[in-house]
Formats: sequence, C-alpha cells, structure tokens
Amino acid sequence: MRESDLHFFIDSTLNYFEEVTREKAQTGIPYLKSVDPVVLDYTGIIGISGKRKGSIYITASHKMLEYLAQIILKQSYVSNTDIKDLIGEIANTISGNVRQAYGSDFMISVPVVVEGHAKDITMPDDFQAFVIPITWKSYQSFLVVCLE
Amino acid sequence: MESVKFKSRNICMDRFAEKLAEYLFTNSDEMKPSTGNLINMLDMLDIGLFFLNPNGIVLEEPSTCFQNFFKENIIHDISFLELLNGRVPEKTIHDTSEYLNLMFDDEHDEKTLNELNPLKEVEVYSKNDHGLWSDPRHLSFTFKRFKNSHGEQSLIGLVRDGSSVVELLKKLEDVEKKNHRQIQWLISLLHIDLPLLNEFVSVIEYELARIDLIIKSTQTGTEFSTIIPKLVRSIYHINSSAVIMNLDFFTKESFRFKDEIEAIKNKPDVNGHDFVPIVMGLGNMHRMLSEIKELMKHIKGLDNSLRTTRRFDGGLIIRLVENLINHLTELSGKKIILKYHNFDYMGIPFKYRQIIKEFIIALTRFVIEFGIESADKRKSLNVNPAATIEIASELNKNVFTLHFRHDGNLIQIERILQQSLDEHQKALYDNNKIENCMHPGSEVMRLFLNPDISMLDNKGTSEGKQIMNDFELVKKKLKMHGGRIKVVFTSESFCEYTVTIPFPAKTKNTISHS
Repeated sequence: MRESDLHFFIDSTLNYFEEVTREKAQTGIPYLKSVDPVVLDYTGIIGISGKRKGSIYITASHKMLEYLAQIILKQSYVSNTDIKDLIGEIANTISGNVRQAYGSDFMISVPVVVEGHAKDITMPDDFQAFVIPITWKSYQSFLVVCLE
Repeated sequence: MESVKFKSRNICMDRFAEKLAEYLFTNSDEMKPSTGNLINMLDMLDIGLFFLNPNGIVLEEPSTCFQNFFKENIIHDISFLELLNGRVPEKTIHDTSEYLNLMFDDEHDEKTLNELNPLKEVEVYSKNDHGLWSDPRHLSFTFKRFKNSHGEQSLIGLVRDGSSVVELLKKLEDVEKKNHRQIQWLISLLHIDLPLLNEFVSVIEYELARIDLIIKSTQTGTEFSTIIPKLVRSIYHINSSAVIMNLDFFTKESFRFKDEIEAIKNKPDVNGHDFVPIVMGLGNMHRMLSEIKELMKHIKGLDNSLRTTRRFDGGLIIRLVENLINHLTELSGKKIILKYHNFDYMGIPFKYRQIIKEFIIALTRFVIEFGIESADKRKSLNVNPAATIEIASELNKNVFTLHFRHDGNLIQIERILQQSLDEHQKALYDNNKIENCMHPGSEVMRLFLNPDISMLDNKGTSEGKQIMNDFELVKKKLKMHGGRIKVVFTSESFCEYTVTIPFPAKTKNTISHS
C-alpha cells in the first residue's frame, strides 16, 4: 500500500463526518494492526479487488452511531436498524469515494454490516493492515485499511 | 525457472482446449446430435460451454461446468454482461461489451479480434451467503463465430478455470522474488556473529515494540509533537545498531524513517496525517525483522558447522568499531585511523564483555562527534589530517583495563585547559572570588566527559544530544559494575580514557579434613 492510499482513506472518512454533521472529526496517529482485535459495536466492511486487493472496515460504538443518526434523521429516537443502516452508509460513502478515485479497474463490494463485538475482523494475511483512530465529538471509532 | 515450466504446461492445456473447441465449432452443424456428448466431455475436462445470440444473451442451457464457475444455476435468456456484473471490474465489462459487438460484426477478422479479448484471463468473483466475495477464480474465455439455424451471427464461448495454475505461478513468482531478496540479505548477515545478530534483533524488536506502544497509546487530541523526542530516541538506537552491524538494507530503511521523523519535528502543527509515512516505515521494518529472524534459523545451522576461531570472535568488536568509524567519518568529513594491536577482546572477563563493547562503541561515537576535528581543519592546524584512535586492553591480577586514546582537538583542548588554569590562578589572587571559582580539575573533567560547556559546534543537534545521553548511560552502567574512568591529557600528544574494572579473583575450593 502506498502512503497516498492511506491519506486518501483518512480524508474520505473525515470528509464524511464534516459533510454530514458540519463538525470536523480528528484523526489519531495511525498504527499497525496487530493480533489484538479492533472491533466496536458495529462494523461496516468493504472488499476491494481488481488491480489491487484488500479490504477496509470502519467500526464504531453504538453511542456514537446513535448520536450521528439522531443528527442525520433529525429525530431523538433511532432504531437499531437505523444504526445498522448508518454504519453501512458510512462504509458505502467511503467505497463510493474509492470507486471515484481508483477508477473502473477496481471492484468495490457492497458494504457488509457486522453487529456486535466480533472476535476480530480477519484481514488478508499477505498485506499489512493499518488502524486509524478517528474521534468525533469525543466518540472514538476506527478505520482499518488493508490494501495490496 | 520453475515458473517457466508451469507457464509452458499452462500453454499446453490452452492449446488442447482450443483444438477441442475448434473441432466443435467447425463441425457444429453435423455434430448437433452429439453436442450433448461433447458438452459432457468438456465438463469432464473442466471446460464450460455456452452460446451467445447477437444481443449477447446466453442461449439454451449452458454447460454444468459453466454454471459451476459462476456458482449459479444459470438458465437461458440471461445477458452475458449481466452475468459478469459485480464479478469483474466495470472496465472489463465495458471492454467485453465492445469486443462482443465487434465479434458479432462479420467485417472484422476474428483472429485479430481474439487478440483483444478482455476475458482471455480474468479474475471472477462470487459472493458467499454473507454477501462477501469468496473464492475468486481465474477464468479464461475464448469465443468463436458461428451462424445459427436462422443464419444469424452467434458466438460459441468456451471457458476454462486456470485458478490453480495462476495461483501457483503467483506463488512461484513471490517465492522467486523473496529468495532473491533473502540471498542478498543472507550475504550481509553472514559476516555477523550469531550472538551479535541475536543482540541486534532483540534491540530492534524492543525499539519497534516501544514505538508501536508510544504511537498506540497516544490519544487523539493530545499534543502529538510531545511523542517526537521518544520516537527520535528509539530510531536513533535502531539506526545506530544497523550502522554498526553494517546492514545496508536495514540502515537505509531506518534512515528513511529517521528523515520522516525529522520532517515532522520541524512542522508547526502536527496531525495524524503526518504520521502516515512513519507508520508505513514501521511496517517495513517489522517485515524486514521477521525475515531476518527467518534467515537466522538457517544461519544457526551454518554457524554450528562453521564454528569460528577465538581470534575471529575477538575481531568482531573491532569490525563493529571499524564500521562505525567508516559510517561516521563518511558523514562528517573526518579522517580516522583505528589502531588496535594491543587490544584483546577474548582477554576481557566474560561478564564484562558486553559493557566494554557498549562503552567502546559509545565512546567512539562520542569522540568522533565531539573530540575530533574535520580533516580540513586538522590540515589548517598543521597536524596530520587523519586523526588516530587507539584501543588497547590489559588484564592484571584482579583488574581489567581498557585504554582508549585519540589525538583529536589537542590544540583546542590545550587552549581551553590553559584558559581554565589562568582563570583559576586569577581567582586565587582575588580571595573574594575563590569560592565562586570551580576547581580546574573538575572543569577539565567536564570538558572530556560532558562537553556541553565548551567546544561543541553541534551541541544543539538531536544527534549530538543522543550521543551524549548514550555516553552518560554507558558511564552509569560501568559504574554499576564497579568500573572507573580516568582521563589523561598529554600535551600535544593524545587524550586517553582509561577504564578499570575490578573483578574478584577466582577462589579455590578448599576441603578441610578434620
């Protein structure tokens, strides 16, 4: 993976928060994913294939997604389905940006949503995975990028 | 070489399938009754068969093998491009559409068009029950024109699964690349004694883990610039360990990493983005380290069969110092001759070897950085442009002594010494100031062992600070072993650091008979 790829994924995620909530999210220092799981309450996963392979996922807490959904839907009560849709939507937005930037030589899968604390999300063994902590309104989420 | 063999085997299979397809294509009309048998035969050979009408629709029921490749029960009247959708990149679908349009047009030469076939080798994905891609297949499609019973231009398609061969080829390519790289690295590693290599690996492992921990435990919103000095310290250790081992491939990566940290250091507002090159470099170093560890397993076997001599073992520390001198002089434009005829590494009591090695390395670095002038400066001072560092050791009854002598900065030291003595003399005449005046001995010791008060041109650099910190640390370690350092300055000759470490004499076991 190139440095520019990682910058791109970070920017895509930060842009989402800024566009949707008009409030900037903060990036933490990226680090290498070890064997320790990086999974919060909800996770949206996208697969990338074609010229280069890999996968990306964003994982966030229930509280963060609930608050985000309240802002987007402009209602105080949000259902579990709304929250699941939202994490899928975030992953979808990132995937849309990736599709735009990487061109038609790449295949981007539709997002797959995982609810609950999975043991871990397995990434391709052959490539290094990077974890980018993202903080929005004191809520923490993680973007995990693994690309050939 | 192996990959070439596999490639030619692959080509043989292709030719066989093509021949069979050609037979089917050319005899399609009269073979109609036996087409079913041929399909079965192709199925057995793992070759799928399907027919396309001029609109690109899959006609009749395609072969079982074809359906298996797509992991779907494909019934007829489905668009071929639709079938590819979501399984291959959009660009491939677009190119296939154009290619098929040309194939349906009689005016274009079929053989020439086949050269443009975008599905000649294509990776096709299928989704599992969770909607995730699984088991990508490397399929190879070939198309041939034929006229159907209504005289319309149609296409016969053949598809073969080359996944096993493609995967094997890729593996072979990766292994070939890895082997080539590892052989280069192995050559670099072979000259290093295994215990030293072990020590190098543990230092790098420790420092990389430390960097990982620092980065991971830094919370978003904290001042990122505060962790830079910690990272600088770790990378300084990684870098200097790689330099003294003369491991070019690792040194290059560590230098790149060091430069990235230096770049961040100078930024006014540091954010997470700035750490991207650092974390990428960290990933590279982790990968390199795991490959070095892999290679070490092989070296261990070699090491047992190629046991080195004592003299060779003793020469390793000298080689480390030589590497260090070469590296530092190259960077600083200094010239240094190393003399070590009276140094006997094997004479050092075993328990003190590590600390003595650390001391020599730290002192060499310290002296080159602060104690020796550049070749040009020495020339202008009318002394030999090449300075000399001499290492010697002695083992007496209960004391080990190390002598480290150099002839750098002598004139400057002389001047500072004189200045210090003059100031002391002046203070002696003035009784009021005598209490405020430092004893000349202590000032001179600070000059040799902690030179921030005097002659440093580069005292502000982080490299200089690191070298001083290291030297301080090794001095403390030496003290813990009961070691003492004495500095002797002989006017116009040399400056000598003498380290003495006492060690208890071996006590003889006595058995008393009563």
